[in-house]
Amino acid sequence: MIQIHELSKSYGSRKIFDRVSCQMESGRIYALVGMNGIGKTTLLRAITQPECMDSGQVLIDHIESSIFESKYRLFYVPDSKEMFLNLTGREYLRFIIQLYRQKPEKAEILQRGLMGAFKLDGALDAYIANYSLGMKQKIYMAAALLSGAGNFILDEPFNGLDPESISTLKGILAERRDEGAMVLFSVHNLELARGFCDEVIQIDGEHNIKSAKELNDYRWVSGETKATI
Amino acid sequence: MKRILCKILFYNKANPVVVASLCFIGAYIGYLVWYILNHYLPASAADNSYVLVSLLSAWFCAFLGIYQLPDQLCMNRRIQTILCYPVEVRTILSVVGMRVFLLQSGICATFLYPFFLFEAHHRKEAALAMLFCCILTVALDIAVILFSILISRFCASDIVGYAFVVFQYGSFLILAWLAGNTVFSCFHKPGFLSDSAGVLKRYITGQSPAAMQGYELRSILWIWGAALTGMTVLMAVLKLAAKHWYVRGYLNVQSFRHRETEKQPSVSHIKHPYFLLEWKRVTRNKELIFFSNIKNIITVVILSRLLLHNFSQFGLKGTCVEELFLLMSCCSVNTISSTAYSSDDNKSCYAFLPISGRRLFLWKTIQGFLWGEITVLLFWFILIGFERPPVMNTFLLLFYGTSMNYVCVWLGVCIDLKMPRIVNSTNELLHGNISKVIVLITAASLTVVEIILVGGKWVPIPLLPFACLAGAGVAAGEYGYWKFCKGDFYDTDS
Repeated sequence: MIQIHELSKSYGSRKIFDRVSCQMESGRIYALVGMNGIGKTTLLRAITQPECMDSGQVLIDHIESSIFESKYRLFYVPDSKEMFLNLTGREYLRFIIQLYRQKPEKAEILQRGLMGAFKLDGALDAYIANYSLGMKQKIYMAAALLSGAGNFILDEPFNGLDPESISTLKGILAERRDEGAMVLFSVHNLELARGFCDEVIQIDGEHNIKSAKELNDYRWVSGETKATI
Repeated sequence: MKRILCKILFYNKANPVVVASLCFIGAYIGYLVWYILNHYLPASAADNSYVLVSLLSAWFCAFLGIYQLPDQLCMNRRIQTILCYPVEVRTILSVVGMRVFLLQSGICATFLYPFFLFEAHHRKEAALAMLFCCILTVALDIAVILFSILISRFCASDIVGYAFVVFQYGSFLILAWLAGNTVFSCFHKPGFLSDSAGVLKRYITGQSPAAMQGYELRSILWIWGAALTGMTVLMAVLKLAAKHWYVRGYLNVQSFRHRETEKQPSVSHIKHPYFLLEWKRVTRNKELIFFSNIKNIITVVILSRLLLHNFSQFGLKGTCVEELFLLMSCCSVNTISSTAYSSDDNKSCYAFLPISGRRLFLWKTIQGFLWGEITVLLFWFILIGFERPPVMNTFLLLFYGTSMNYVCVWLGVCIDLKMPRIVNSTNELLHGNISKVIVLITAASLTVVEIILVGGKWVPIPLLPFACLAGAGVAAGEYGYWKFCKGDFYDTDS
């Protein structure tokens, strides 16, 4: 569960958020949508890195995000897929398991299942630097699922994935949702969110955060362009 | 467009306050050099001190060119991002070359402007000396660029990195040898500067042509003519080389850096996450580190020899001064610690992972300490093998080396944390950076203070035990700072 209170953020004189608040419940999947440059990544960063905020408060499972303990409750996969390139896939997953204090035996079984599902078994001993974009995406997603965190913050998680992997990832994330996890992901292609997310969070032209319970109710209003799903 | 290109290639934002501060510091250093030369050189030599200053400024310019030009032209990762755009090679060369040349001009001006203040009646010589330095610098820069292009193009991709190491470090050794000999000659051979000034006046500046014979005038014309022809030929060859070989050469160098990633990596069994992160950071660059250590050892030997010349006057012979300097130098040139954060590609991810900034700092220090201790032990074995000191001194030397190793590593990591820099190439891991220089200056200052205190009888105990105590005291202070000032290490884990 993530609660945002009175969040403000500016880049110089350009105000991105002015005292906005919202709440994301456990056991739900949220799609974060909005125009390019409206502040989707800024919002995700504000949740995961409290130092990025100008003012406001973010609670992760009721723990303030500036407290170190809160970091164990969430896993963030950023838009950039250039992380830990100097580790092999296996080393990276082991690193995350140890960092998030997961039981090795349980994590080992889960890892085997995930690697089979994502078809990454053969590439685990290669450096992440040598992975394709899709493989990097899969290994970071696998790390998120292995971390045992209850809140997943995913920036464009379907980028670079083939249709089969997208379907697999959606299935696994839906399972996690049913187990009580919260998933917040940013997306541009609304078709990817249809039938998958429980709620849409929209950042509108005035940088306000709005919520629509059903994606079918969602209307994207951006300047002169109006698109209805 | 060139300004934008400069920003892309060097990622720097010109800050007028920083530029003004640097100019002020440069002006002060230039004035200080002239003041020292006028007051401490023998009277006969002081009259021609502008020759020494010209040579020193040329030395600094050459040093800057040899280290900056190959690094920025052939190893700068950002060039790859602009190669797919319609940017001509000559534009890239001119942006890189002009930036380095501006810095070199600044160095020349810094060193030579006080001549107008100290020697108001020798303005012509000063202006010509400055011009001569600039011409020499341009010629050297062109030669360095040409060599860099040739090395990058014609060396196979699996050895091109080593070829650059040999080129840059070999040139540095030659420069160091030349500079050392020049300074030594100035202080110990009274006629050296006046003879050099005579040559300069007669053959370069053409002073008093009426008094010269015909063949001397012809010599002057020949020298200037040959210099200009040489420059023209170099420029023409450079133009051709840049057009036909630069891009292929650049890509060749880049493929050297990524060669290791194609191999099947060995399985690591490290279970501690912080240690794994640090181990992988260091071992991914193991080839560079191997060369860096060899380079450090040679540098240590040269540095120690140079420093020892000046400390024989304290009458501390037989009190381990040489050994202290050797151990201090090999501790302070630890590249692993001075690039602890700047060479860490993963540091942007630490903000959103449950990684404690303070514990990460500790493990970076431990990693640097372990690698540095290998060098310390190597030097310690060589020292006790050759010098055969008393048993007590043997152990004190090891203790001193170990404590100084911790002191220097901690300081190197701390400076790299507090002075965040953008690293353009892995070459910095090999050749070091400003952090390493600061650590070296600090450690050398500490050792000098210890020698002065013991030499001046202000401290009643022998040098080696005092140095050990001082080293251990500083190390304890650093550890205490890490232990109790958590906020300074950006730690949120309370």
